[in-house]
Amino acid sequence: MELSDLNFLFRFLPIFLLAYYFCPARHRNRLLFVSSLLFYLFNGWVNTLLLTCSLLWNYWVVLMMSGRPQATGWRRGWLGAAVLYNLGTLCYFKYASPALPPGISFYTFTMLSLDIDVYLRRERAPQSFTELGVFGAMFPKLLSGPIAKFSDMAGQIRRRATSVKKTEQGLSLVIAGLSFKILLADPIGILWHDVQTIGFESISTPLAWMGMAAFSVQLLFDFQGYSLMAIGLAYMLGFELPKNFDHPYGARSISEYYRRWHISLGHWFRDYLYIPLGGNRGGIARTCINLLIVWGVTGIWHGSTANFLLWGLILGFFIVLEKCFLGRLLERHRALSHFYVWFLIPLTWIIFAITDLKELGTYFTRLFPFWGEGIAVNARDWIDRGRSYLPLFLGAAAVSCPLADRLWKKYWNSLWAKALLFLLFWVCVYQIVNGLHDPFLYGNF
Amino acid sequence: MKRRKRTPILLISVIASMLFISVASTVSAGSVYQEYHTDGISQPIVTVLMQGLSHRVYPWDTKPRKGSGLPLLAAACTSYVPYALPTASVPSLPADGGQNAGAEPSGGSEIPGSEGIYPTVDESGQKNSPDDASSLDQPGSSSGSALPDPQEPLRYEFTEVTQDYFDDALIIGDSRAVGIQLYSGWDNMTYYAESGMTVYNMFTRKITLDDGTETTMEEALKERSFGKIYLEIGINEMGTGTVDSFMEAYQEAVNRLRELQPDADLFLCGIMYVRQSKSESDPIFNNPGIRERNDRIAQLADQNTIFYLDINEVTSDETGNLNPDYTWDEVHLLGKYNVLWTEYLSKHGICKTP
Repeated sequence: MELSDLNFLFRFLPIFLLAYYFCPARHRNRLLFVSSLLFYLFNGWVNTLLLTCSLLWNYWVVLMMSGRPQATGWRRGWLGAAVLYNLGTLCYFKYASPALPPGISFYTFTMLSLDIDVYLRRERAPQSFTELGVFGAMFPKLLSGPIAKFSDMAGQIRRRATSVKKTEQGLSLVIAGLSFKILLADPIGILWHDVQTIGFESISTPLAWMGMAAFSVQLLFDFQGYSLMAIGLAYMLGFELPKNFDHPYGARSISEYYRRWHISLGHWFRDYLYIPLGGNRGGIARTCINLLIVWGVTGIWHGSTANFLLWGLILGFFIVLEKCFLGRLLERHRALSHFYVWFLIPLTWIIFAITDLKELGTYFTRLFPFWGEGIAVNARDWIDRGRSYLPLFLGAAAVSCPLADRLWKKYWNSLWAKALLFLLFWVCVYQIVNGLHDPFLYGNF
Repeated sequence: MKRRKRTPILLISVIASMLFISVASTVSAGSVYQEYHTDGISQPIVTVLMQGLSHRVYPWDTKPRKGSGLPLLAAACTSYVPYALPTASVPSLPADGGQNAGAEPSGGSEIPGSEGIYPTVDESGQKNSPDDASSLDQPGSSSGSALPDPQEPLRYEFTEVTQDYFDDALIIGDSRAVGIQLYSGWDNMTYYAESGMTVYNMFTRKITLDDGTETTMEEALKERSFGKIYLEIGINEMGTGTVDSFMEAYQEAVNRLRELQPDADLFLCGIMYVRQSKSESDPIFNNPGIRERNDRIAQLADQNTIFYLDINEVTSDETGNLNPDYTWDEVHLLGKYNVLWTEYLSKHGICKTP
């Protein structure tokens, strides 16, 4: 079951909310935990068993570590066992198993952050298994994050308030996120689907660029849509989840882009890999190596094929360049810096999108046709598509700009905004039933 | 004002409308939406109403309007792209139609794995035997031959032709025909091809002519006459109705084409298979279902003015499915493989030189 699934929207969510709001506050965590497992059960009982094992094992580990706070070796041993278990299962399912259990990359990273924080005594262990269960498996963020930290969540898990206003605001976010996904990401994704159906050898160069733009926009709105839904749902339950996106295409460098894109993953890698490696404290050379390691691992986290590693390393390379000299140049030239991000980021998304390196090469020869020729190319293939997709791209740009954010903050509670959201909700439902509807892309990672 | 700001209007209206539309769907499911019946378990009941709306069937309609809408799959895929795909995930196909399409005996013989080869055409006999050639008095021509039988109309055989043969040819079809139009490299033919075109809507659907004007195919066919008409259609229809109801509509379409274009030779193209992985996982769009329909289409051919062509002879692999190397989306040919169509059509011309 996904957040954009009608079974979720029309069955699971209303029944759960009804039970949740009528449930006494002291039992709500239990209800949320059990409901989350039930939600996950739709993805198969084996996967649910795996999730439960992960929660149990990590709970055991943090209990052991906090049981003997002075025994450094003991604690280190348990941390090692936890890392081994978490990364072992993650690597097995990501790289060796034919099917990836939904959300495993996200809940495993969530558990690892807890283990490490408890080991470093930044955090006290959860007071009960239910607490850990709510933190690790609450259904709004279970499948694709945000990867919250226990320090941000512990207080809310123990004590949080729900209110009519929060529910209303959360619902608004849920509908906005759903609209991002169903009315922008999916329709624009059809263009990318088309490009693949035609075959990369046969697309014209303008269509190659449009296809690249389409995938980039689809990915942004698909994931941002999911994240908004997650944040909105959590808000309805009284939680405040961390923000996962902050206008990434407003960035003026690749490093800044990734401080604004999938923020929670970026923070995870910063806190649990980059800083332990030494961060930027070992001189420029050491910093550059650390950055490349972090970005290589970020690439591998997304998938086992070589293109993901390549994607990560290329990003790492540019971030290193920015660290060395490019950053200062970009800072001085506003237009250049925007062009640099808008040109380079979509190109890296193409590397991310095409898992077969030979096909990837073909795509680049269509983007830059002086490297080779296509086969059976229809030079006019982009004209009609340009016309029909332009409104979608413009719509995507309009809702991405900072002005849209300001309008939202000011008017979300106004009557016309609610009327619009109500309409959008039903258009989404119609489109989910009748349209070309893809699962969330980040469900694959 | 303040009270209004505090009232969760959105929450109330969403919940109220969900309840109301669920009730309306439940009530209508037994009447106007009979065709879209769902089990009511795998998906919420509102899906019935949403499917109905996409076919312009409304809950307040008094009785079910059979076949009134576009087939769901076609409707699903034509919103945004000219080169659209009948490959939407089909969570909500009209279950009855789909199941019947696969299960109901078609009335024709079941020929598993037959690949729909027309029984009276001898492919290997494309080169006419000397006897045939002499009897037809076509000296020096390797083109088609007619079987001499005074009781029956002449039966022509396929022969190899060059591209100029297609100067007066028209291809009518769905997104797969759009593929031929855009990627075969042949622009001397005329194409009335649109994604999502079906035998149900082909005459009334808007098509865009070469000069950019929009018209219906009915009008276009009244305006201009063709020597050969290729009908490449049939996959989108699989989500709706039965094989029989499809064939009824197909036959009607052929009759109408014959009326509008009495002098044209009609070439009915068998539906191209889908890839094995799709065929095995899709309850609707699978190759046994396609073979069943192709078998029935083939029976319409008389080899005199109506001919049956089966592209699967060149696009399927040894397992009898669409060759996986030729497709990305499991349904359409990759752009560069549309040349298979033109090669195939070139080998299946009909010459009626007296």
